[in-house]
Amino acid sequence: MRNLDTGKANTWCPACGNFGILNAVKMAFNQLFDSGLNPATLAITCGIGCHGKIFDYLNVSGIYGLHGRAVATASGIKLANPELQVLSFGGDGDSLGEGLEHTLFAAKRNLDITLILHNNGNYGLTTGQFSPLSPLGFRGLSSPQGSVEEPFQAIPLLLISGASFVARAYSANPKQLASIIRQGVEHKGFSFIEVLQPCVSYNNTYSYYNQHVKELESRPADIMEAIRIANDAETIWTGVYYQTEKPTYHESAPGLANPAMQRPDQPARLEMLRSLNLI
Amino acid sequence: MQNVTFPTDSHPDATALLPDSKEGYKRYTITDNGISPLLFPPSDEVIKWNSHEHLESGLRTDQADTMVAMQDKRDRKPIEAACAKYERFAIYGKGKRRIFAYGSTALEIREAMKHLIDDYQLVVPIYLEPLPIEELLPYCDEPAIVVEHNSKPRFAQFLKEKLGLQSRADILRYDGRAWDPIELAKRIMEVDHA
Repeated sequence: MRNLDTGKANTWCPACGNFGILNAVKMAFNQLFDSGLNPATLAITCGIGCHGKIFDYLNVSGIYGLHGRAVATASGIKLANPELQVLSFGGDGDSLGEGLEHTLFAAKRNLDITLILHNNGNYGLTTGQFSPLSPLGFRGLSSPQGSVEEPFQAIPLLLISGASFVARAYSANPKQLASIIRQGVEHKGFSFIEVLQPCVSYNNTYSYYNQHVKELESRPADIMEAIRIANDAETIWTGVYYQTEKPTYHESAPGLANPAMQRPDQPARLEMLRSLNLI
Repeated sequence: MQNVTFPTDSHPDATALLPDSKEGYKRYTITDNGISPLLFPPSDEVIKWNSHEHLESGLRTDQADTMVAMQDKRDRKPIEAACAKYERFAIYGKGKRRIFAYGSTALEIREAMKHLIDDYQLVVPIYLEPLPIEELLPYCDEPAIVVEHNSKPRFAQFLKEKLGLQSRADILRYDGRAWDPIELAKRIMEVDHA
């Protein structure tokens, strides 16, 4: 069995929500290995942020990429190597700011990857600027008088963009998160998991979340109901909001040569062009 | 066998693709020639790519001694030697009067050369970096005509800085259009027969 620890010294703040996510990820990986996932086929990608440090704490193959490009590199890996299980870690600034288009297009294409979004509601690594998911009025270094922007609604955004598995979890409930991660990885299609992650340094939401977070009692009937429940003003519901089976990108494109796997030589390429009546 | 294929005529010493997974593999192994062997998933060995500076294992680091060691490793890569295997410049014609150009301008001049009375030689640098200086210097002994699609003779300036080439004329065109071969031939002949 793969030892998932790297032994690297941890530099998250004590009590950071990321510890809960790391624990949940390791639990989920071990569960997946137990049910037959070959560790050799697991690959992760990270962007830049406090979330990104998880790359150094997991003994798993992958790419520690540029800010916002976690989903881009994950998409590339899956397209080139469809037999791999690809898991992407992103932040609210990383995947819904700089990398917004990568995230939405991966959902639109229903690429068979999983995105775990560490939602701490600010740019933590750079000391607390407001992010695409910060609430209106958030006071940070770049918005000392309070942010004047409304946040994106992550779950509705991803539902409308075509994600086929959408869930929300809380870093202080790692057992639930581990189960959701496992379901997301096993799901064939784009899996989006928003994780509420308190940031003890710049956006300490532990107390607020502990009072307002509840587990969904039943799954919403359809996308519109899921959107309504995700936007509940009183309660922040966690659990699986939506799951559906629909064609994944790499399975829908038969007959297209995969340039990483197959490199047809020149005679074969000429023959392909002839068969399409292009020459 | 690794689950990835490279063109068969590639240079194995430059790609350093490992034939198979090897125990204790490190993505950024420090080597004498600066090339760290490549391995791709699926793999029992953990392969960590990192866009930030890193240890041999691929974990991120900011340690000064590692940063120096990794930068030195990358600098040891034989880039110049690898590039030398490719055609880095092209010569058309055998005349004594020389013309320098790059990119698609070279194609325009090759068309124009069919309409020129005198014997010209066209010199086309293909790789500007690393510029094959030693191989190009023999063509820089006389002033040359430099043709470019810029409003200022920037390519001529580049050749002067790198090779000491003097221009006897700079032919500039920057209206977003290609040269008609006969018009270009007339312009070139004006330079030498004005």
